[in-house]
Amino acid sequence: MSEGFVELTVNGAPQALWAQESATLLQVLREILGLTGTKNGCETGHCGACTVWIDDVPRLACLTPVGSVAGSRITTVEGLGAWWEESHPSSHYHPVQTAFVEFGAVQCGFCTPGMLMAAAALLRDEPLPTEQEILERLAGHLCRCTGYEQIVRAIRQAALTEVKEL
Amino acid sequence: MTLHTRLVQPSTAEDVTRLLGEPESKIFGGGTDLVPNRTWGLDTSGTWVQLRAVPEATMISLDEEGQWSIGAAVTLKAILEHPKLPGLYPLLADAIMAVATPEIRNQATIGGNLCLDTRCRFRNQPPIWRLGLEPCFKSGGSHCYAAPASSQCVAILSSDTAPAFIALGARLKVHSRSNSRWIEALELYTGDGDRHLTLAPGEWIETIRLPSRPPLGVFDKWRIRKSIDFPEVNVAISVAPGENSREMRMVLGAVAPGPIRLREAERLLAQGPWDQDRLVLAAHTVTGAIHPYDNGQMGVVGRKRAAEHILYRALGKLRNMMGEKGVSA
Ligand SMILES: Cc1cc2nc3c(=O)[nH]c(=O)nc-3n(C[C@H](O)[C@H](O)[C@H](O)COP(=O)(O)OP(=O)(O)OC[C@H]3O[C@@H](n4cnc5c(N)ncnc54)[C@H](O)[C@@H]3O)c2cc1C
Ligand code: SF4
Ligand code: FES
Ligand code: FES
Repeated sequence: MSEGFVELTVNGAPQALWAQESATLLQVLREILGLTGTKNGCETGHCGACTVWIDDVPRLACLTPVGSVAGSRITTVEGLGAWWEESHPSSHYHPVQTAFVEFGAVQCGFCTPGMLMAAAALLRDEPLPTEQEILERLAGHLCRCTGYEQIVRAIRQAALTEVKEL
Repeated sequence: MTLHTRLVQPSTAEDVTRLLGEPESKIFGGGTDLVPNRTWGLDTSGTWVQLRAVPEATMISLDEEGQWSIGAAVTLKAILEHPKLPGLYPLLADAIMAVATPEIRNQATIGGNLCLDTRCRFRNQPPIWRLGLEPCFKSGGSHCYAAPASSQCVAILSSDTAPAFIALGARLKVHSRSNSRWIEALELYTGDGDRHLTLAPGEWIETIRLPSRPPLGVFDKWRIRKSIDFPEVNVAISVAPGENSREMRMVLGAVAPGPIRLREAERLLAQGPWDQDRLVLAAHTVTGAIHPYDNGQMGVVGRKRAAEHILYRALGKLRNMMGEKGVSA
């Protein structure tokens, strides 16, 4: 059998989906669940636009057959604000989201969801990363618009704001 | 048209072997090679056998003789985050860090990296691009675009960890229906780009065993974009200091369907002190030892020059390391 029910928790909500088990998580998120925040840039692992968290680990949805992660917790860019709000009830957005807007780190916005998921995971692991650490984490994320400067600056700023508030 | 592949998750090694015995079935590690190949119609397996529920394949363990074993389905991330392995085998950790990107390393497995399918710029292309070409050997045809005079496929093994495991003297446990066997890492590769592994149908890698006394070693890689790209060429060199002599392994990767041991350079370096001239000469032997074809991103001349360059750079680094550890060069 190559088709069946797959259970996932997506942005906190349990889901039981009828899907081909080899369909990619990217196809399932966008085409079945309508969560189009996660972008399809290349479908082959080369751009980072489809980055989501699978059990809190940033991974590429386009390289993940949905059957291979059955039972997992998925967080997409649509759920990032709510994930943050759980521990910071006063804010609806993750600080990297706010900083991306402030610093002009979004132009066409296609790479942004992937960048945000990678950046938020980095700040969770390393609250005050160096520029080098930021660049290393973003190694798999292509942006055709911004030239990366503003993106790196926004992530640095988000980190500094958070550390100040601690 | 997207193909639909069955995905199964057996919980014992025996069941894995049994399922692999079915036609068109393959091991699924992290899928970071299989899934893009499937998306582009290059992988047409009917069944993927995922190892995530097989205990032997998902553990890192230490035996009574002090040998570390890494299950083939352990992720690259888990090896890098292991409390002991990166410190004991920095050569391996450097090779793993050079693989792809953080997100891919979070998902990719070490067995998948060793068994990675070979690549070629005439084949690893979207279906619409390939429509313009008659099939080559690897696609079921009868010729090769990269090496028209060759009677077989010369697609490239781009694994970054394969040269590292060979240089370290790692052994692989091959699981098969009748019995399991251990092979040297270099014995995994046939040298033919189409059927590049020596595994018989139904056989798969269960674990990788590292030597109990880690040799000194270095890894280096040349790629176009440092952030993400596959290697145009990579090298791993190890030196195990012995009583009177030292054992050395120099392995070059990503220039052929399997890694290449550089015996002539090894001999040259064993003959005398590692002064500048000897390192230059040793690095230069690579130009005769490898015969890359025009199927990578860089041209043939560029890859040969890059190979010589990284070999020289790696030898210099190893000489410094040996100096610091008091091992005579
Ligand atoms: C953008 C991008 C960049 C990349 N860059 C690099 C790079 O720089 N260096 C590099 O080395 N790789 C690179 N890769 C390739 C790939 O991501 C890695 O090689 C990865 O380690 C493959 O592991 P996996 O578990 O995902 O393999 P899978 O896709 O699961 O499997 C790969 C192959 O190995 C077979 N296999 C897997 N496990 C076993 C086993 N235990 N026994 C027998 N056969 C097995 C599978 O059947 C399949 O044929 C890149 C990939 C992408 C998409
Ligand atoms: S090396 Fe030749 S046969 Fe192999 S994939 Fe490339 S063109 Fe095809
Ligand atoms: S869409 Fe997944 S990496 Fe480009
Ligand atoms: S903002 Fe356009 S690709 Fe990054």
